[in-house]
Amino acid sequence: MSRRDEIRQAYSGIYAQQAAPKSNQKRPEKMCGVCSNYLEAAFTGEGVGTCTILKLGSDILANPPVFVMEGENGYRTMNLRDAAACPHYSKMEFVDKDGTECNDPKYRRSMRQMQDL
Amino acid sequence: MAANPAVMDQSIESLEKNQQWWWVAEKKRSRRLDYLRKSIWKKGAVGGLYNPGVKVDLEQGFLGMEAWKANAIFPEPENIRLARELAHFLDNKTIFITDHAQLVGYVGSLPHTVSWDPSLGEMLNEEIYNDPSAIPDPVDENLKKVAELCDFWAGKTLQARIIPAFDLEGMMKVMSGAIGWGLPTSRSGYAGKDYEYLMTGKRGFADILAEVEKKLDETYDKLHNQPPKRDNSSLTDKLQTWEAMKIILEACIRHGKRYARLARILAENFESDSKRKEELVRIAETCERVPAHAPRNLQESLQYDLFIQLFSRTEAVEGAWPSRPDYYHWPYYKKDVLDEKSISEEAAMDLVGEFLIRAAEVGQYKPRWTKEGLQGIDGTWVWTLGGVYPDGTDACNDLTVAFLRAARLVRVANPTFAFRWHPKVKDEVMREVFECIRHGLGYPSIRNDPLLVQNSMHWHGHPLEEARTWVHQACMSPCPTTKHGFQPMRMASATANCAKIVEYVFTQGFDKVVNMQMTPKTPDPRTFTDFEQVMEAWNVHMRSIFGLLVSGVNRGRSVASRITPRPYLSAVSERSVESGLDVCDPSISRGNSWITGFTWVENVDSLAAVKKLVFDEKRYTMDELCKALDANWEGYEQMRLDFVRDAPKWGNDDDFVDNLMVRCLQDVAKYSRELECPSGNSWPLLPENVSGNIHYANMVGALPNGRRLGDALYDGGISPGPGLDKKGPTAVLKSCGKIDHVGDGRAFLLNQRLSPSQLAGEKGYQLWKAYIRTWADLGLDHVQFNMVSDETLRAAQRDPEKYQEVIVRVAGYSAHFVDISRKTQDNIIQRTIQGI
Repeated sequence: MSRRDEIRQAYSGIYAQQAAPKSNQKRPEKMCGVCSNYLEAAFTGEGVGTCTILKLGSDILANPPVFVMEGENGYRTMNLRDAAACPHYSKMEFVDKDGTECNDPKYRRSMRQMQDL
Repeated sequence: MAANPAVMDQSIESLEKNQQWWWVAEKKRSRRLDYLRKSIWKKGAVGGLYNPGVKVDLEQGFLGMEAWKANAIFPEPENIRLARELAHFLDNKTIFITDHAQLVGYVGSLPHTVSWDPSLGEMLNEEIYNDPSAIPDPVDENLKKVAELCDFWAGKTLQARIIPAFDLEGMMKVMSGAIGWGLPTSRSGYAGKDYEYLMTGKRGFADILAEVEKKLDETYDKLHNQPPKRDNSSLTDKLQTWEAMKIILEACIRHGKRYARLARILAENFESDSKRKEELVRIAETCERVPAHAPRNLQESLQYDLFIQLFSRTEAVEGAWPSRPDYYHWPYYKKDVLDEKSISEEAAMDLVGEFLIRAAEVGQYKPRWTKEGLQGIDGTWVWTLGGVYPDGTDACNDLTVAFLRAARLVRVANPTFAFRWHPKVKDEVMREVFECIRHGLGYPSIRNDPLLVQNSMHWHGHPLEEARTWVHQACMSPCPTTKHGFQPMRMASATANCAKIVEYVFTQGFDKVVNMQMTPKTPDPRTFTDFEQVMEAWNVHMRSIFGLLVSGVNRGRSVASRITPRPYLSAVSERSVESGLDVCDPSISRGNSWITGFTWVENVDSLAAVKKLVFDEKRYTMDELCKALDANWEGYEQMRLDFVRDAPKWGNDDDFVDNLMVRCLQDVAKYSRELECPSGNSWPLLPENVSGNIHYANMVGALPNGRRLGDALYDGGISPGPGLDKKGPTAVLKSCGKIDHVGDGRAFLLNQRLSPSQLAGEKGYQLWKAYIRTWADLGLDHVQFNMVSDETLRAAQRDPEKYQEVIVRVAGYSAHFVDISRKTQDNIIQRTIQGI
């Protein structure tokens, strides 16, 4: 895979979820947003982040899932992405939902869909 | 905030003595201003959330959807499609007139809403869908509507069109949020205005429309009645650009008339109070006149200006409000108040105060980086006061004073003022400036006018007379208001999180927070044997980060005419009306670009610490430092304290570190000349912060200045680290004075806290004036002050309900103290109070 293809795949994965019909949105039981290996980006509140274990080129939604463990850049994923197929999923102990402070990639998930966790 | 009877029983003198300026304002202002001030909603976010009750407006999305569907039958070029969409919105949006108001217009459909244009991007739409508090009531029902809008616009947005046009790798790095913020599009950022074209009383929108129609006729004739020439293709493009201008100008005029009609209906059918009836008729007359025609009086002039801004915010998300109100409204104030005496000074004060309030209530839904990075405000609306005329004579006038007095009465945190100081400013004006600062507003900031005029000529080649028209395009950067000098859109993504530069020296360009290789892999720092190797690596990362951000903006600007045109902004810009080119077309602009440098001083303090403790004194090795940083200083507390205490810090008149500051800036300045904007001009650095220092606190790893991941970063610009400027205010000024404020960068923000008790009375004014004289003599271009005591700020933290109106200077802007996150509040309290 070329460098551009790798990046394109990562962006497409995020964009596909952004552009997916909201009426179809579900909160998976296991999701990247509550995994201790996930860091949420502070850019926007769309719920995008990176995995600290998997590398770019991974795809946990594919059938079969793709797990890339070597490479420079982390796997771009989202809070609500289904992590059921990921062997590295490790539920974090605490999710900080204080929206009146600034984002902390490690702990803070202030999005509506995660308020009742 | 409800008046506190116990406080309101006190005399003004007693309240002034206790420096409870917010109560003083409430007692002094007119009933009208008091009502209007209390009736607006605060639109700034607290951290990542809007204040309770503030909701996202769905109307623009649904009206836009209608327009899109209607247009889908016959797809048109993007500028015409957008103009039709905006026209449909302006023709059909809900409008209202607030009780007691004399000025009208709002970006949303109701006063408590923040506007949202879902055609801008899926990213923002997703954020709104995820927002835990901004969905209007009833939430379940409106969440479905938000989902409907998100679903409809998916794949049709500006984001969907523009991101594929960029270098994707670069965009992924920007969108990681680690090195910068913002998206490089012309419909999001800081739009300048061609005030010399619009606001000099020569024309209104109908006059521009006539010019556009003439161009359309001439071009139509060339295309249809003359032999085809090789530029026929561009003539068709121009025809479409003028057509888009015509559509939007007509819609703006109709929109003004909708307000006129509403005001007349209210006056004739619903208002029983005869005085208010007269006011409503005057509003009707005003909106029948503007924006169609040039204003004739102060009310029309202010209303015209407000319409110009609101229309622009219908077309784009604007984070700034470049403006020079005392200059452009002065002829009308002079005519009404001084020459013809058609209105009293008090009546004029009501209009000026309301103009500030109308601006303060504007709110557009902003993404996380803005909500967190501009806490407490909707955007950096730094209005420019004072300065000079193009011939160099003093431009301060009675309206300058009126704006400064109005600010003390209405005490809004946004807009704020920046005052163009020059040696000819009269003492009476300086006293008014000082009173605002003493009243704790945190503004005006003081700008060194002669120096900044020279800086504009140096970096961007603006001719002297044009440079002298400058306004603040955002917090800090001067930009002329002339045909070729004004910049149509400063795209926010040329904003660098500079602390990453020095961080990447130690991580070889890998960002551990977002897991990306951001910049080239420089040599392992453990192998460095000389400080020059540190500087070499620092330069690699500096060039890489700045280059990445600049290339994104250059690309955004280059494709703007085609992908993200601005038909409205083009229609109010002489160069576009004349040429038929979109306002963002680089060929008709001189260029006024700059890189905003957040979290800059961390570099200098970190480099000084490495130089002294590792290479000069050899107390620690690079290996030990790398290990300590990798561990976020955990387990290395004594070493961390050595790096904090024993390394020289910027702002103490210490050449060891000050020379490093100058060296780093000069390295950047050299690179700035290599960087080109699409107009061919350079990209100087402008170190400043908004509340980016808090937004980025969890994004910047441990640094050699002793900072840990999560600690607040410095408050920005060239301000010393909080509490680290230990040698007094003169030492701070002397450190800053070692920088060449013309050649080393575009402008340099300096925050200072002064003691309110020390600066009381006439003695206080004289002390401050002497300080400003020193500041000017040392050749600094900017300074701004917080003059609220620790006692008041701590009381406000304990009991926020009682201190709703306390304002502080955050960085390039002011905010109500209760409207910023706790971490930002603490950071402001930690800043050193300088005795002068």
